[in-house]
Amino acid sequence: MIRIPVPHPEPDKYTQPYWDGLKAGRLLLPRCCNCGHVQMPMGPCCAECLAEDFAWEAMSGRGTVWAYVVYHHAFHPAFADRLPYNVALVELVEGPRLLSNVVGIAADVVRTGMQLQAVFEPEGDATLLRFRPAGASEEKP
Amino acid sequence: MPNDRLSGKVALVAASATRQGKHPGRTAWDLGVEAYKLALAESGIDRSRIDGLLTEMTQDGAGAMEPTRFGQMVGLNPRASGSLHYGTAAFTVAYAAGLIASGQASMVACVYATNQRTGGFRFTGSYDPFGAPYGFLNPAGFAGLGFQRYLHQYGREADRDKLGALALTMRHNAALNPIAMMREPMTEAEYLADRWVVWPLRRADICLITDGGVCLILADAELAADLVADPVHLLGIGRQDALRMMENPNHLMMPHMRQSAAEVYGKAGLRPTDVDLLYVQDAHAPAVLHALENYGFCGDGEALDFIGDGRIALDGALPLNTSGGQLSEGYMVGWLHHVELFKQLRGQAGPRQVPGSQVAQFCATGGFREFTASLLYGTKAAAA
Repeated sequence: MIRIPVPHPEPDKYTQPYWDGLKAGRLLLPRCCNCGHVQMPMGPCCAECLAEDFAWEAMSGRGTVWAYVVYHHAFHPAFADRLPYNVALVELVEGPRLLSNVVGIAADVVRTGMQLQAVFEPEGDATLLRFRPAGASEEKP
Repeated sequence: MPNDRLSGKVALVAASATRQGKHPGRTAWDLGVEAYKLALAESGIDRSRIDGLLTEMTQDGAGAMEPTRFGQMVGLNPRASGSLHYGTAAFTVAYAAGLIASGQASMVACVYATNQRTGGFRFTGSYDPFGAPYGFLNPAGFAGLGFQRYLHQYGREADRDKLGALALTMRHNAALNPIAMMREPMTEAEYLADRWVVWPLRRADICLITDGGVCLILADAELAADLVADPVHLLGIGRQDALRMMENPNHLMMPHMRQSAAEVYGKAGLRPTDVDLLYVQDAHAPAVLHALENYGFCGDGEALDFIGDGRIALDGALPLNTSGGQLSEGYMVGWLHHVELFKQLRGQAGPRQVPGSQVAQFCATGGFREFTASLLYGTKAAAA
């Protein structure tokens, strides 16, 4: 049987520090040295002011659920044995929004506005950024 | 009174589609050529008149619908040719209208075709490096996120299943449409038993993946009047994109549609109450909610009630996606909506005909909500 790998991150020149940060257990995002905007997704310049100098800054890892879905169908075979699983749009306290999974709870227990804390989960060659409800134990059930 | 430079200058003179569904063994090229020939045959337009060609690049087993190859296939040396990678019809029509209004072409054939149903294409969607590793695959994920946020924002979580009114209305319309893929009736109980794909969306809330082809021909309005009876006039175009996507404060609710709305109504000198027929690019049912609210057909948070009280049915006050839309007719990214509005405004929609229709509006919802466009079309009387 052909095994199709899980879609995996492909770091590029704009995102390499982000993925390296996750491996080190830190959520690093680029803050514009000119205007202070935290740029997500990353690119060659700040989308607010077009300045090109960024400082990669550690975020708090705290955020809230802005919106979420629960997948009951695997659009890629690699996710078939994870069903059902949630995907949440997480708003970091520093502003940017990113997609992730809320783990440590049943897939459909996630709620809009739920307070979250980042967790760093090695997967294949990369480390992925996931979230658990804030205040919950680090131990997964 | 229309007040922009486009009004009265561009008209739709042909809009033809192949049967929708499965076409095993046929390529997108086969289906595109079939649609092109159908458009010529049904309109009676001589192919020597075509001096512009636009294709929409498709995701299918035959590769991209590249305009040079299509021109080779149908023996066409147009004055102007080009393509868009994701047309949802409105953008391709807007491109064609620009070519015509600026005098670069007088009659533009626009072609979209795909064999993505039987051609082996898997609609996983783009591999966003910040989404795919978390299983955020297929545009249904984006649509589901938007619908969940919508239900939360307006406190309508308990009314989630009211969304089913759209799927049921579309199935009813498709039953009257001989080219539609899904013509079997669906009951409310069947809808409620339908499987979740990406909660809060059921399978029936998501477009079909179909094989098929469409060809639209647009022309300079004066030429159109000489060549075909009852051309359908383009009354105005409004557009607003939101390329910053999630960096925009409430991208999921598509607030940028409101700029498209103000522009299209302003240019055409019309209001939502003037629209007889509404066509929404319905890749997913919730797109219709956003269009109804942002284009001003109902208030914010009210669209679930609006679609459920019969107003969008063929005999309602605002018939919507009268051919069955992408939930039941076929997924041709908005192109089939144009075939239908062309028939309706010419009184040729058979058992689906809505009597006396003068003005139709198409609303595109493209991609991952980063593009919006709206076009108003009218009969000769409406354009006068």
